[in-house]
Amino acid sequence: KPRFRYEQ
Amino acid sequence: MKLYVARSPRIAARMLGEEMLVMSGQGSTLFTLNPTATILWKAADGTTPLAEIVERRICSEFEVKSEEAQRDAESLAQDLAKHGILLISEQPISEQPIAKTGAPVQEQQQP
Repeated sequence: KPRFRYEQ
Repeated sequence: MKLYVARSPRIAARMLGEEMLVMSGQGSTLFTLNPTATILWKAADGTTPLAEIVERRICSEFEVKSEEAQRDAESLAQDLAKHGILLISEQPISEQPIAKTGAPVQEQQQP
């Protein structure tokens, strides 16, 4: 599945 | 209803392996897209309908039902749009605020 994560 | 997606011109992006790193100019946020999301991201030219992108780039290469792939892609697009790094429209997105065709986006391959 297309996913993403992010962080400051 | 057709959906069109385009990368925001207010980001910078580069490939790292099979993943795309996207830096948003606002909020100092670094996004990391997995390989499937990266395929969708790179194909988001604003003029190709999302459904067509999914059929051509996802369904043809991966073992997945079209309905599931479409649903996942729309969900991803909505999430990225909430973060301001992807534009979604029911019309083709040809004009962007800063430059045409996503020119500000620099995709650099790691050496």
